[in-house]
Amino acid sequence: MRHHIANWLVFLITLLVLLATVIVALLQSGAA
Amino acid sequence: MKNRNIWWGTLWIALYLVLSLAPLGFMLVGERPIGREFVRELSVALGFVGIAMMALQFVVTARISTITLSYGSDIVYHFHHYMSLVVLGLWLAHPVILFVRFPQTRALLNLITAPWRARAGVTSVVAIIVLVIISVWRKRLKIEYDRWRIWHGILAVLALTLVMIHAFMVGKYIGTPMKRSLWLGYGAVWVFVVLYVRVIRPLRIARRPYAVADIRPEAGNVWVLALKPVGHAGMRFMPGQFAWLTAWKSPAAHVEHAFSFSSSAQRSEHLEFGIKELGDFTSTMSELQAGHHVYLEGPFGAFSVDRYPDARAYVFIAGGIGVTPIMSMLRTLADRGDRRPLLLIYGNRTWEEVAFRKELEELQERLNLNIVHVLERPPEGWEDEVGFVTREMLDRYLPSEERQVTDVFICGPPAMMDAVTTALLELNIHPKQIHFERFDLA
Repeated sequence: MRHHIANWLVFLITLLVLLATVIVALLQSGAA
Repeated sequence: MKNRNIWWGTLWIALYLVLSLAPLGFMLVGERPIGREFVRELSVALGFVGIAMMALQFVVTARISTITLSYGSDIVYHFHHYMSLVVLGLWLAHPVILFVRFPQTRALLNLITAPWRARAGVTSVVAIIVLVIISVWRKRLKIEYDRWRIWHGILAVLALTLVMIHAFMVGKYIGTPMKRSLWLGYGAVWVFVVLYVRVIRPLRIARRPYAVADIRPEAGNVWVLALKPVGHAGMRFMPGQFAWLTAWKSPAAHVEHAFSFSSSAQRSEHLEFGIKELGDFTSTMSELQAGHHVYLEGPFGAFSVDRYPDARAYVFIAGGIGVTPIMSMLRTLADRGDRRPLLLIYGNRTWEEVAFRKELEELQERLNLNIVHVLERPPEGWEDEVGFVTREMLDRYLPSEERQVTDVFICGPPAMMDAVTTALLELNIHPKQIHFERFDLA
């Protein structure tokens, strides 16, 4: 039950990090 | 106290995000490169974030008390486990994207002909793959806990060092003096963290040794280890917390285990631990003799009545050795003259295996404590409960009018804790009122 807190934290942080990664890659490549 | 924990918990998540995303910020510093393809940039960005998140794993498991107090050690370790899979995914995504988009880069996999930057990168990925395999399947691979911990430490440091070498040698993305100094500063933070965890803190712990005052057998293959501080005031802790104990070797040696305090928190100069004779470390507990020096790091954990002082009643549900932190809470409440209603539901296989049963009887005289023993294999003429702790049993013992003002503490085998939690939720006990301690951290 409590593990869900850890699962959600991992999920949300991963999502945020991936989103930021894509944005930075777009900025770097000049596509954005 | 609780607000402070929430504040620290939020601060740590914010810091985690800042440190994981910092390398992306470094990429954007300075002039934008011309003519770089999105796919290559994505691969590089994933690699950088992967390095940062790998380094953060050292902080997550550095036993920083404000982290463990905010979330509880079980959540911190689960976070560490799951995040390691994300890190592995990032470390694999970086080369795989390059291999697919630029097939000529596959030649870098040949370690004989590949340049050193690729050798460092490939070896770091192999190290993290081995690290995850031995950690996820440690029991199936029959690797002893102590041996695993040593290899876990070696592989983690090796993987991180090699990947940093890889990033610096590739250099393209950290080529400018500005980016280089940002990365050097970032790297220095991690060198400090590793030094602090592996050198500075062990030295501080070594200056506060404890001597074994007594070691005595309890029922159910449990040993009670009593310690007294040598040349210092001892350790203050909350009842229900645990400490990492290193015996025989220096505290820098990585052979240590987490044990719950079983003694009263009112006595910081006399510490006791209940230790079940299970693994390779605990089975040698009986070899310890009075006078031996041991080292303690702690206290850790959020499993304590002291975090919920406003509850009108406490319920404790223990399975086997899981009674240890609960003993600490009961002894502490008794020493404080607490008169709130307490219920202990205590499951064991047989009556002979019930640890601390005599002392529990004595505690009943000092506390408003009701004890329900649940035995799988009861002796003849047994009048208490039989089998496992069930929803129906909990429904009978938990007064319905008190359910909303009671905090429940569960400690025992994982299967039992899961079943009891489900039952409590079905009985409309709010998740916030249910507290755990898991012993299977490794």
